[in-house]
Amino acid sequence: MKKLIVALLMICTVLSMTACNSQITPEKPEGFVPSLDTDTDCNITVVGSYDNFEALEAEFDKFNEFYPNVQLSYVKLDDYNNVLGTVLDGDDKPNIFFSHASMIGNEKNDPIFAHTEDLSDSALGLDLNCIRPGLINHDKEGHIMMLPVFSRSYGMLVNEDLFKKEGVKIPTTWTELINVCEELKNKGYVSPMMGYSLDSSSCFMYTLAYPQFIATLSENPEALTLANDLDPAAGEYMRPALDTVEQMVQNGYIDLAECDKIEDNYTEVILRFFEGDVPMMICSGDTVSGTRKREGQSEAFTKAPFEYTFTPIPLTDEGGYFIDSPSIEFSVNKDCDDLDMTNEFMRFLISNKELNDMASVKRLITPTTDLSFDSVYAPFSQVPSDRIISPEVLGITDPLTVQIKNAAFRVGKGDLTVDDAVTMYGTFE
Amino acid sequence: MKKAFVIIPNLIIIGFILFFTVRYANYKVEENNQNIIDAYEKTTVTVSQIITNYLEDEQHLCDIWSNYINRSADAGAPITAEEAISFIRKAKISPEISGHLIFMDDPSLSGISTTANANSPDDYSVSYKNISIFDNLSSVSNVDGVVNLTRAYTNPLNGIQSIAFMNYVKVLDPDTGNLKTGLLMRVVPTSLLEAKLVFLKGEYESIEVSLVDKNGDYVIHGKSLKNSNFFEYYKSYNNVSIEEYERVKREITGNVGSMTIKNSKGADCMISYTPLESLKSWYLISYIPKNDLVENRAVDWHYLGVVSVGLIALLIFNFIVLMTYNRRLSEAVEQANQANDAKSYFLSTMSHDIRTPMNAILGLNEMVLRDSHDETVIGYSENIRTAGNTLLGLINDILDFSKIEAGKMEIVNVDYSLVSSLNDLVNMVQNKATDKGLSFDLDIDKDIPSVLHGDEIRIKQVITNILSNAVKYTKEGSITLSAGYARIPEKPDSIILKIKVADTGIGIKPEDMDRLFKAFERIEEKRNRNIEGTGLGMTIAQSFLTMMGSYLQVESVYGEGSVFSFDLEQKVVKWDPIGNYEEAYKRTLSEKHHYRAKFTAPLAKVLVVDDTPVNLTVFSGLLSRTKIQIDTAESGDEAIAKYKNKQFDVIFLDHMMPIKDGIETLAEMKGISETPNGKTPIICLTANAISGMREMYINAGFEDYITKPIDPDRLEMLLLQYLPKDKIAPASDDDYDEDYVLPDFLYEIDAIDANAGMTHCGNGDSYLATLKMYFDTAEKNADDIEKLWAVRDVRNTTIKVHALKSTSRVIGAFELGEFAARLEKAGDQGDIDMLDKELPKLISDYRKLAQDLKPLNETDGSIEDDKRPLITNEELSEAYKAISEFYASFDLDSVADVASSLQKYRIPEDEVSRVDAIIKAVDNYDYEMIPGIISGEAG
Repeated sequence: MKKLIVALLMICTVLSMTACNSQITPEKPEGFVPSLDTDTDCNITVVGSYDNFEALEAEFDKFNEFYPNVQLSYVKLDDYNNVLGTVLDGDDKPNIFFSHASMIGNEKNDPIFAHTEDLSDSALGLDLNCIRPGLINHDKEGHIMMLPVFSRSYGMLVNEDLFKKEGVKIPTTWTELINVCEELKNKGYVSPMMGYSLDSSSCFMYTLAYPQFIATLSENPEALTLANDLDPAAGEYMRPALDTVEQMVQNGYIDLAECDKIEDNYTEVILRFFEGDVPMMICSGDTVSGTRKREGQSEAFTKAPFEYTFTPIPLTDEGGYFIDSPSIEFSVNKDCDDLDMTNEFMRFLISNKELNDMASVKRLITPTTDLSFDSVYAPFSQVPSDRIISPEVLGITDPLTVQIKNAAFRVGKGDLTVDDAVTMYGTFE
Repeated sequence: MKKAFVIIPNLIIIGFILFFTVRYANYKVEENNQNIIDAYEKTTVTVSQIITNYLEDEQHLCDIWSNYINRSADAGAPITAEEAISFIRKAKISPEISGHLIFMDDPSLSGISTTANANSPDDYSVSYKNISIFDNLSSVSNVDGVVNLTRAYTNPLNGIQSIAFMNYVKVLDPDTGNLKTGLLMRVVPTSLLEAKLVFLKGEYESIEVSLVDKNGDYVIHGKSLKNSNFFEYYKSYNNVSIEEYERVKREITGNVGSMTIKNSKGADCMISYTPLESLKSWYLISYIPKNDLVENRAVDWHYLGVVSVGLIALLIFNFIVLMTYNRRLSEAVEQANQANDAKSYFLSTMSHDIRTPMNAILGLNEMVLRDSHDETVIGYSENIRTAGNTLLGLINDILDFSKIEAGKMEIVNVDYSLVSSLNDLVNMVQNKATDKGLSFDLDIDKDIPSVLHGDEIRIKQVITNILSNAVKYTKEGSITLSAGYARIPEKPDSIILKIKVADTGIGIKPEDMDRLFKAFERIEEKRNRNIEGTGLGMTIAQSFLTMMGSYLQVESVYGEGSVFSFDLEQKVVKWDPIGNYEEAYKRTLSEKHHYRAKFTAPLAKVLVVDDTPVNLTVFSGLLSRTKIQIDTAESGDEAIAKYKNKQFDVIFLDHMMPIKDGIETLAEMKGISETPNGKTPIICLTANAISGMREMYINAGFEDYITKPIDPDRLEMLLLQYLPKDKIAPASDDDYDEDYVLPDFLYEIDAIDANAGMTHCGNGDSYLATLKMYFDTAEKNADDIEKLWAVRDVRNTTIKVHALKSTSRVIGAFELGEFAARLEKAGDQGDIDMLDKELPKLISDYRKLAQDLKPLNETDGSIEDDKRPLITNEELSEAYKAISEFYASFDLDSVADVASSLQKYRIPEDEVSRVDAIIKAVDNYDYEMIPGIISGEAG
């Protein structure tokens, strides 16, 4: 009898509960312990050049679990590079702003760095060890004016299912790459490798040549100096990289006509790869970041999805290079309101988990030491350390990259011979 | 009543109330929320109006600027860009607002601003080269009232997020002196627009207003809405199909309304949307977390708790009250049950106590009917039988009603012959109708299947009740019993049996119809007071029909007669038609004669046990024509003793006996292993006829039971069922000697009762043969007694007197038999004086009787004409064997009985001498000679 009554009361309770709404209680991120008054009421604004930054906005939400009254917002600034200084000087000062390694050393950016907080200060409690050392820039005084939230690299998207279907092993050395391209060509693939080729920005020629050029320079410190000084003598060091570009095009492993059909260096590159008939698509990690969102936008991929990875291009018989550059970096405006809370947010953000989460949402390469969180980028985690090159640590400057970018583009397009390009080093704009 | 039956419904009701309460509360909350949402939508529309008005106002101010500049140009006095900007600096009031004049034909999209660059106080130039806000310049119109607005963008001069209102202006190019077109922009910080919405904060604290274009790109971006495109934001955080996504897009860009979506935290939020009037392809979206807008529908647990506790308290209170009342009711029920038990006990007692004497009355009356030749006596006897049967009917009605009331009446379907049933019914009613001078007519469909399956007894009881009523309430005219049938198309193996009884009786008034089926109600009691009955007949009939899935229909015209009818579904066992029943019945009537036994079983042995001697007599008498050897016992112990030693084919055991009742006796019998009766069926003889008795007796171990007064037919049927088949012989006409005429001189002998003697011997032939044997041995026996007494051999004298007692009783010489019995007793007690004194008289009477029987020798002719049945060799062997066994167990009485029974048969020629020798040995008490006679070594 007692059991019966209890059972009926439970039924009553359950019936009553059906009329109730469940409430969602988000989980608090583990590991982070607030150090400020969690009732603090303030605004934190992050300004940047991204149209969208949902990955950061997701972090705002998580931070709000600890500090519910802190209103965080991301604002895209039009004409970011030109207007940033003005904004930092203005009345409505942002708390955090995007910065780039390339900004360092440019006097034009001095007013910006005048507002920038030194993030190396141990009092801030930032977990700098979670970031790969090669991605952190120290200035001459050893200050850290910016911290990377994403990193960038160069490689190729590989259609793994296509390789399986054709019974071809994914190449890991230069010889294998040549052989695979030959085999695939024989199997009817017009362009075993493809990439964007309409202009020099993010073109496949640059993506193909840059790692090799940087690798060459890394082995010759003198050459690096010459190259940074835009000395024409450094042109010769471009030759191996330019030869590679020329060879791939001339051998027909990369069909320019096919590549020229890709109209932009981002969405169209991804959608072309998702057509499913491109074994290897040369691109940067920034392009890979758009793949997840576009899987659903590609009719072909939706109909016939396949496994793919982003892997270093095997430019030598020892394998490929992992060119490890910071992508977007965050700087803190030391003159902003609520600096303490801003630093608290940075302390929250600069951690393995949060940076990986952001990279996962954005599908960019994480700057942390743990690269295995996203299977697409997994091949990069297998690159031996002696083949990981950090251009910023090496001291590669922007003007140098302009040279190799233009030289490779024009050689790849057939506008210049390798010899001409080598002799023209320092003159490309 | 179980507690669960109270608690469970109450808990269910409580659950329902709670459920309803919560649902209703939620419904009201939802209704309220809907009102709030409606108000929110209206607010959104209001906001859109405010924003539209503001935008139109700002556009109007921009128009004023551009109109001034353009009118100057139109008036032929165009002003330069510098002058235009100078004018605007003077015209604008708000320092936050600035004017930019951009020349679109300049590749760097540069121009002049009313305010200097924040970083260069002297620099008034502005460039929009890297700001893509001029995608839709083609839509910019100088028509007054048309708002030409950019998206929110970063003002390149101060980095403030702003929107700009635009108009084309014509200014003078000082270098060429020509007019050139510039784009005049009234640049307004978005914060000013947001300030217009401050009023909302009082009502909707967390509201955020966004403006999107037709693609969903934000013009003004609410902070909670992530992404740069509202639709992308919606898709990111709401897992919807492409179709749903497209529907939402169409809905937001096409209508005024609201919807709930998930925000980036997965929480519900409410968006309200409306197109901005006067602005093409711009839409206002107001966002608010749903919890901030509407009440949480979560249950008010305090309220629910109080209601629950209250209801459960009510349940407990009600339960206690109910329990109190239940206890009282239980006590009342207990009392009622006791009263009912008393009633049952009364019925049982009444049944037993009435049926026991009724057994004697009806049984003995049956004897009278069978044996009497006096028409007057037979008339009286018939009346006794009628009255007795009526009384039994009344008792049966009350018992049936008690069974129905107790729910113990069961329908037992069996295969039955319709003709047989009709016979029973007609036999029952025919005499009654005839006695009242009524015509009893039959209208029986000759095609009715002959063997049906149903509860024959109850069907007959129903029809009997109707027919009895018809006879009772009809003074003159006729009663017609009709039987017909109809096939059932969907049930090919069944028929509808249609029974109808029509009478020309007193009829029933319409107002009395309802009372017809009420128990103990008698219609027109005063008028019918002389008509016997309990008032249960129709009630019982209707109850039986209801149990069988039918009902009784009545049509009646008061004073003219009634028609009772019913239809009953019966399965068909044999489809053979019954034929013309009326003719067959008439023929039967014409051939009707007295009772005849259904069988004979002279070798069968039955023990009947009853503490009432008259019942034993009745029992024996009823079976006398069957020639069964009947042994009796007047107590349980006596029965057990016989059960141990003598083999019987069937035992009838009375239930209600003093000292050891029938059930106790049965139990003791069942415990005896050393008995020849291990497999003998034991049938209960009882006057208990109330419901449930049959089950009780069967459970107690009886094979069957028969009620008293004993129905002779039922008794014979039972015996037919339980007697060994090899001991049953068909009855032959020779067995019946109602009309047998004994020699007249026998009736003139005072010392014998000839009729009793004939009864004892089964028929006239046997009686005469017995008498002759008695006569033939009388002289020798008398001499033997004298000789034995002369030498004072008391023991053998007593044995001879014992034999004289038995043989005298058999021939109906009861006085002589009793005389012999007294002397036998004296001999047993060694009362020599009495023997000395009385024995000579006994011998004298014995010889006188023998003398009186002397004429028997003169009627040899009739004796020679032996009509006795010829005994078969098997039966004779069986008899020899029985005699040997009885002798071996010194059961001399049984030896005498079997020997006597042999006289009822004609003996085959080659065995006559042996049988005679056995009989003589018995008559002469020379029992010790019997084994030798049977084995052929003596005699």
